[in-house]
Amino acid sequence: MNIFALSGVAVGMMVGVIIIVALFKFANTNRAVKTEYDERQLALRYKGYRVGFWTMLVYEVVMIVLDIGGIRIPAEAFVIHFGAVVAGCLGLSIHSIWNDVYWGLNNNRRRYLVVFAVLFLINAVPVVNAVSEGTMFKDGKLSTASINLMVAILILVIGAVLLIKQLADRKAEANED
Amino acid sequence: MKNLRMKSARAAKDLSQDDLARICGVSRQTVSAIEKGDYNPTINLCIAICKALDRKLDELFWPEDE
Repeated sequence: MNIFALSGVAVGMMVGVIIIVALFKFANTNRAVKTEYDERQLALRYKGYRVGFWTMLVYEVVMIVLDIGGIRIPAEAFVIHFGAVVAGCLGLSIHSIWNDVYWGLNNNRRRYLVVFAVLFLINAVPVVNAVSEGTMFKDGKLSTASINLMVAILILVIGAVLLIKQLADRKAEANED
Repeated sequence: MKNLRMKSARAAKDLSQDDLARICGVSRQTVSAIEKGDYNPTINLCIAICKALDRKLDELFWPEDE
C-alpha cells in the first residue's frame, strides 16, 4: 500500500470518527458523546468486556490453528482481523443486551434505532454495489466490501437480539402479573 | 432475597420504578434488580434510595431478623 492509499485510509477513518461523534451527539439525550451508565450497568459491562475479550481470543486462536493447518480462508488478512473486532463487539453487545445494560442512562432508544438504520444503510450500499459489480472477491479473496458486510450483519444481529430480549421481557412481565 | 420493604416504601410514596430510578440517577432495570434481590447496591445508592423514599438505611436494607 503506497503513501496515497494510506493517506486515503487515514482521511476516511477521520471522517468516520466525525460522523460517529455527530451521530452519538444526536442520539444521546444530553448531547454527550459518551454514554452514561449506573453502578450495576458498569459492573455488568465490565463482565461484558471480558466476554468480548474471550470471544476475540478464541476467534484469533481458531484462525491461527487454521493457518498452521494450511487451511486458507479466502479473505484478505485485514478482513480476517476485522472479523476478530466484529466477534469481540458481538460478545460484548449480546452479553450487555441480555443483562439489561445495553442502553445507557442518556440514550434515546428511538434515535439510536435511527442511527443503527443509517449505519446499516451506509454499510449495505457498498455490499450491494460489490455484489452487482462482482467485486466482492478480488483475486479469489474477500475484499474491502466484506468489511461492510460484516458490519451490516453485526447491526442485524444486535437488532435481532434486542427484539428477542424485548419479547422475553414482555413474557416474563406477563408471567409475573 | 427480595427487598419487599423497598418495594412497599416506593409504593407508599406512589412512585413507579421509573420515577425512583430517575430520582436516584440509575436505570429502571437497576431499581427492579434491587427489589428482586438480584443486585446488591453500593452504600451510596442505598443512601440515595433512602433519601428518595424518606426512610432510614436499616429500615430498607438491614437484614430482617430470622
